[in-house]
Amino acid sequence: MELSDEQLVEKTQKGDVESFRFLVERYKPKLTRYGSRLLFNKADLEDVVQEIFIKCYRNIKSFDVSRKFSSWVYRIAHNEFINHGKKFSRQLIDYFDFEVLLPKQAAPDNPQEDFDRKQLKEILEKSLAKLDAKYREALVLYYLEGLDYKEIAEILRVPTGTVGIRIMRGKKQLKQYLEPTT
Amino acid sequence: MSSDDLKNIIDKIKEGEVKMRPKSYFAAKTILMVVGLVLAILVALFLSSYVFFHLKASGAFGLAGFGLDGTKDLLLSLPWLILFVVLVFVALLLWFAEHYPIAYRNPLLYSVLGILLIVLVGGYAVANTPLHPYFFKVFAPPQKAGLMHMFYARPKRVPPRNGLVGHLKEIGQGYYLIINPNGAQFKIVINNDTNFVPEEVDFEIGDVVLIHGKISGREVEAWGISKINPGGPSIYFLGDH
Repeated sequence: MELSDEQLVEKTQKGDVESFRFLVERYKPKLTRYGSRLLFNKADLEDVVQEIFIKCYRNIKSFDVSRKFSSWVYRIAHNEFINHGKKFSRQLIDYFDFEVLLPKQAAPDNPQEDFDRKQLKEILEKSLAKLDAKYREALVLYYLEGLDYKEIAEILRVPTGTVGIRIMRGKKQLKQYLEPTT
Repeated sequence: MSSDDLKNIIDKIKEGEVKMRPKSYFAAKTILMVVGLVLAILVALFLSSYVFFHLKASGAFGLAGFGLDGTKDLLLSLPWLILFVVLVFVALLLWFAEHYPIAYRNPLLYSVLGILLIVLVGGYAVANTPLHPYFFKVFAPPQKAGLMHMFYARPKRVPPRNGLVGHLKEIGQGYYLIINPNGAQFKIVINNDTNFVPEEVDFEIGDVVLIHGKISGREVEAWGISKINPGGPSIYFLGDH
């Protein structure tokens, strides 16, 4: 039976390097894909992802195995990508963003209403560079990485309502880009 | 990331180039964070309570009783530099708070309001304890020096805008003579522009009063006058005389 992320972390914390190898193998494609959608400079992507795993290993004893490993590793990745891409960070570090200051409760997302999910993924892949960074990251994590609102909120350290609003507004932006062509 | 990169990471770990930080490192980090947080709260509370103390001790709080002009002068008498430092500490507390799920899972506005409330209400509560009057007695005397002396000599050194606190030395026809905390005598002129004079209060020699008016040298054209209760927090009752 395949061990869960958290079980692998527990074994790594006890010094089992092979368990960490499994974690790296499991998350390497996900984090590389995540980074490729956020960083404009793809040349350093492999180095950044490697740095994420090194940080992850160094700090693994701070991880509480009762929590979700994926949120923790994506949080490290989020910080690394922010620190790496200056252009990206300028757009993303928007601390006193009204959506964070006092987010309204966004309606649960229902992609079927306006977009077919598969179609939306394709459009998103093509339009990533045009989107505002804060909307881009929320959309990438939700539609392309398949994370739920709660996990995204933990990664971005914003209220769940803010995630909903960013996804909703990101989709609106996507629609605006599509309108001239449709 | 290629399989070489993966091998590279694992090799670095096996060769000891990359090591896990021990649990004690994270425990120490948590303790430092908590100590930092507690210190930031204490400093913020001390400073905000000092602002309340300063306003009470200098008599500036009493200006609010002289209508709109008095309230305006009260606002202009606020120790803005200290308030700015309080705001810096509020921002620091916010930074600390945003490391914890209870803060970042909720709207930022809640954290901002919560911290402001703690600092203001806590500061007001501390201002009503004997802490500042005690420090005033210890640090305000002129023979003292240092930062604490600067703090506690300030209510006496910096009077409120258009305000003067003093004790009544003489009551004459259309004027009062008062002595301010520094021992200087002022003539308070009562005329038609003096709007705020409580009729029911009988002023007596020795009373401590707050004057709101136009100060020109040692003469004050009074717009208002009120009595400060003995035992109140004015510098007159704090024992520095």
